[in-house]
Amino acid sequence: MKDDRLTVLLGRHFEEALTVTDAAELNQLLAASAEARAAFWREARMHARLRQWGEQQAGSADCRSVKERSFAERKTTNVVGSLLAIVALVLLAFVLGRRESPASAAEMIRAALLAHAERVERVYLVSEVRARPDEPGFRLPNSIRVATLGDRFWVEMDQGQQRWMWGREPDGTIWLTLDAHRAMRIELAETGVPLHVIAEIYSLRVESLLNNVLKRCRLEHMSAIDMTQVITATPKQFDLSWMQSMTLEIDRETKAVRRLILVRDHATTTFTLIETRSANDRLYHVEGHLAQPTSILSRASEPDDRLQILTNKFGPEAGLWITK
Amino acid sequence: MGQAVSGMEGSFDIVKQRQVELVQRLFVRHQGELRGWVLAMLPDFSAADDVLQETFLTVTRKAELFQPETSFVAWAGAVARLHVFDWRRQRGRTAAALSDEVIEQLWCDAAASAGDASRADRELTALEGCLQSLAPQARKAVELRYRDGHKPAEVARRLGWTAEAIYVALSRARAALRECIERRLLAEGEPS
Repeated sequence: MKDDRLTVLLGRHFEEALTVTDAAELNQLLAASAEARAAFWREARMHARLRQWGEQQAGSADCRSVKERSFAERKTTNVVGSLLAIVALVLLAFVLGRRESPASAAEMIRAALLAHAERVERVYLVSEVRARPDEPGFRLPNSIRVATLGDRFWVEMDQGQQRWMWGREPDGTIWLTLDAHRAMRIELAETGVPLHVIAEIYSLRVESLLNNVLKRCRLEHMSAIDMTQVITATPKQFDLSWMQSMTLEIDRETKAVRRLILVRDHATTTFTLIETRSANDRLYHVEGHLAQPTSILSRASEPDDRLQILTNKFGPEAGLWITK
Repeated sequence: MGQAVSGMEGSFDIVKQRQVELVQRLFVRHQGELRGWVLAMLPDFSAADDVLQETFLTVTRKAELFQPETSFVAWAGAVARLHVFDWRRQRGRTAAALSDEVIEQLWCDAAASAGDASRADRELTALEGCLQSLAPQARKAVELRYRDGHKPAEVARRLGWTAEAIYVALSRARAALRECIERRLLAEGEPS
C-alpha cells in the first residue's frame, strides 16, 4: 500500500504535478527510508533515459517555439516523405558503415569545443553579403582568410596588389602589418568605432563563440547534411541583439566547425573551413609576420603618424580608425 | 628574467588549457549521468537544460580545481547541485516540491553510487528496443512527453485523456520499460 502510494507520488513529482500535500508526504517518505530513495533514483534514471532518447529522436530543441514548430513539421510529413526518409537513412547507414545516434545540439557544440581545443590550426574563408551593398564604408578585400587556434586567430586580407595581416592581443589591442618589415598596434582605448566594428566582425575566437552560443542562444538541431550536423542558434538575451541568428555546420567525424553563417541586421557573414594544418604559434603575434629589421608603430611612437599611414594605405575611411 | 617569467606563464597556460580540455572531455562523457541527477531534482526539461549548461560553464571555468585522481562525476555533480539550489532560489521554491534537506540526502545517495557512463549508453540502446513493446497509446504518450517535450496537461489534451490518466500511463510505461531494459541487459550478461 505504502509502495503504491510512493509510486503515485514519484509519478507526480516527475510529471511536475505534486500538490503541497503530496510534496510533504513524499518528502517524509524519502527522508525516512533508504528504500524509498532507491525507488526515487530508479524512477529518475528512467525519466532521464527517456528524455535523452526523446532529444535524440527530435534532434533536440530547447525552446518552446522550436518544439512546437518541430511537432507541426512532423505532423505534416506525409507517408511518401517518411518512406523516402527511411530509405535515405538506410542508405546513409550503409555508406557510413556504422550506426551513429544523433546527439543534441548542445552536445554537438560541446564536442566542437573539444575539437577546437586541440592544437590544430583551422583556416576559414570569409565572405559577406551586405543588405545594402551601396552603403559607404570600408571596401572589403577580395579575399579574407581567418586562421584559428583554440581561442586565438589572425586574419589575412588580400586585395590583389595589397596583402596584409592583422590580429588581436588578449587585451584587445589590434595589430596590423603594413609591409614585410613594418606593422602597427592600436590599443583598445584608442580604437575608433569603424575599426572596432570591422575587428569584431572578422574576429573568430571559436572557443568563446561556442561558449557564448551555449550560454546565450536557443539551439535547434536542424538536420544532417552529408557529413555535417546543422545547428541554428538564436540569441535569448539582449546582449547579442546585434546578431539575428547563427548557423553552425559541424563535421560529424572531426566535430570541427565546417561553416559558420552569421546573420546580422545589415549583413550575412559566412566562415567556411578550407584548410586544417599544424599550428604555428609565431603567426598569432605580429612579430611572426615580419622580417628583420622590424618596426612596430604604436601610440608611443614619435611622431605618431599611424593615422596618416592608415589613410594612405586604406583610404579616407581609415581616418576614423584611431581616436585621439 | 622577464623571459623566464613569461616562459613560466606560458607553461601555466598550457597546463591550465590541458586541464580545461580534460574536464570538458569528462563532462561530455558523463553528461548523461549528470543530466539524470539534475532532471531528478528539476523534472522540467528546460530548467534541467539550463542548469546543466551552467554546470558545464562553471566546471570549465574552475577546471584547475579538479583533481584527476578523484571522481569527476562527484565533483561536477557537486557543482550541478549548487546550480540546482540557485535555480530554485531564483524561481522562489514552492512548497509543492522536494525540500532542500531531501535533495541533499538524495544527492548523497547518488554521489555514493556514481560512475558508469557506458552503462547509461547500454541502457539507452536497450530502451530503443523496449519502446517497441509498449502499447500504441502508451508509446504515443511517451513520445508526446519525452520527444516533443510537452507537459502532462498538454499530453492529456492531445490524447483526450485526463491528466491523472496520463500520470498513471507514464508511470506504468516507465516501470514496464525499466523491467524490459533490465531483462535485456541481463540477457547480455550484465548485472542489473
